[in-house]
Amino acid sequence: MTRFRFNHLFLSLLLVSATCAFLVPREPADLLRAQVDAVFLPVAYPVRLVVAAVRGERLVGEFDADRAPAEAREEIERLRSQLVNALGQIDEMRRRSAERELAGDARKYSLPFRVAGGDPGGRDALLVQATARDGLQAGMPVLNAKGVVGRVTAAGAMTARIQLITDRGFYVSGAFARLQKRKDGQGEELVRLGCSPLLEGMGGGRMGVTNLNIEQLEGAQVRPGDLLILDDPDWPLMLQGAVLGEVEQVERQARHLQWARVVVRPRVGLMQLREVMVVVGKPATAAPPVASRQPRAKG
Amino acid sequence: MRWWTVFILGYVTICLQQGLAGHLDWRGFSPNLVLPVAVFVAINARREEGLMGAALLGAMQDLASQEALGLYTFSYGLAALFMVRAQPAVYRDHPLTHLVMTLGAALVCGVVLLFNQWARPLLHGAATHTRPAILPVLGSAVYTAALAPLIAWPLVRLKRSLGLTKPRGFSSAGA
Repeated sequence: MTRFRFNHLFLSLLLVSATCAFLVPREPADLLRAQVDAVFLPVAYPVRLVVAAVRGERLVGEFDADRAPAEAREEIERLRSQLVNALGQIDEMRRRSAERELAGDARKYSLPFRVAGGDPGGRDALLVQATARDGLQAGMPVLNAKGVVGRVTAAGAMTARIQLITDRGFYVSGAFARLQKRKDGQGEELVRLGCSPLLEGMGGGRMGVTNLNIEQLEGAQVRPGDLLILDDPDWPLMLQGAVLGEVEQVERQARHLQWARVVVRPRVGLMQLREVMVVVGKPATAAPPVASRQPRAKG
Repeated sequence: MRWWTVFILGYVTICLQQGLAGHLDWRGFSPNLVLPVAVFVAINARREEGLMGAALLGAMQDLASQEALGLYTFSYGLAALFMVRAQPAVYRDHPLTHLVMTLGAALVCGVVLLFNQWARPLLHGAATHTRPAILPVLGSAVYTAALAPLIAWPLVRLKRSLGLTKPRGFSSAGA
């Protein structure tokens, strides 16, 4: 091939790729990738297992007496997340008393899937070993024990892609909340703090809220450590009140000092997850994988 | 250049990137393990093979990544255009060459990525528009460049297997 003809061919390739990058919608691209993802699994998944073994991560469900205090703390955190979720649902059900939707523990309507890998392009996304035959569809919410993880974007022959809540361009409505002791000292109550934040994924494991001004946040007394819970009518009722993350930082925006920037982090590193639960919307009948079985309660 | 060997190298690198995703991050910056491989191919192969090899590695990464389809093909091809022109002026096996060339390529890719983040919502009429974040892109470019000598070190030893050694009587001026 002469150099002149090669130059034409190469420039045509660049032009076609640039056109795709800027003009092709996301959905057809995700469908194509969902069919191709399985090609990378045979090497990517063992690599992920090796990394987890090197980091000393244990499978969910293993119980080690020497780590009992840590297990107890994990269980307490999981129960707190469930409590926040349940209280949020009750609030939402009061507002939607005419609607009849699935409610209760979201795990009853979820199936667990193993994470096979992440996004090689630096985006906050996961690949799970799941297929359309498992009943997965684009748009299904994804959870873990500590809160919301993201949404399914495409399900293919052997894998499904999940966009994490921390991914750039992921938007969800929420509410600031705080678990505090009841005045009568009997247990805890969930107190909403009055703002209506729009949570936006920023990449790098973080989320941000930039639609509130400083006065609103000061009036609601939002501070680091407060929770951000799901409050979005586009999500199922059973997930209302599920934890999205914790407030890490509250500051003024550099260019617009009247407006605030709240940095929120999920309670667990989402890119390091080894298993997630996809809300399929009907009572789960499939037995979970061995790795996800919780130890049986004694007595 | 042996195309099948380079293809397998690209496949393994992308699988490693998928398996290690999230575990190599540092302060929100994630490295791109495929880019040093594309840079290595671009500076060691003949001009046409280097250009096409870099673009095809980008195409493979496009199929595995969540970014816009075609973005890595375009950005790796664009970066390769600069790298093949620099072939006569660089020591191809030196770690500093790999670091500097990877940093340059990562910055070119970063500019394309940021422009895509800005322009794509406008072209598709998105209701919400996220401001492109420059710092994560810069940080990831530096992180990737720092890892480039480590990634290129075994590749230098595999040059014969990859078919990237110079034949006798080869004149770099004609590349």
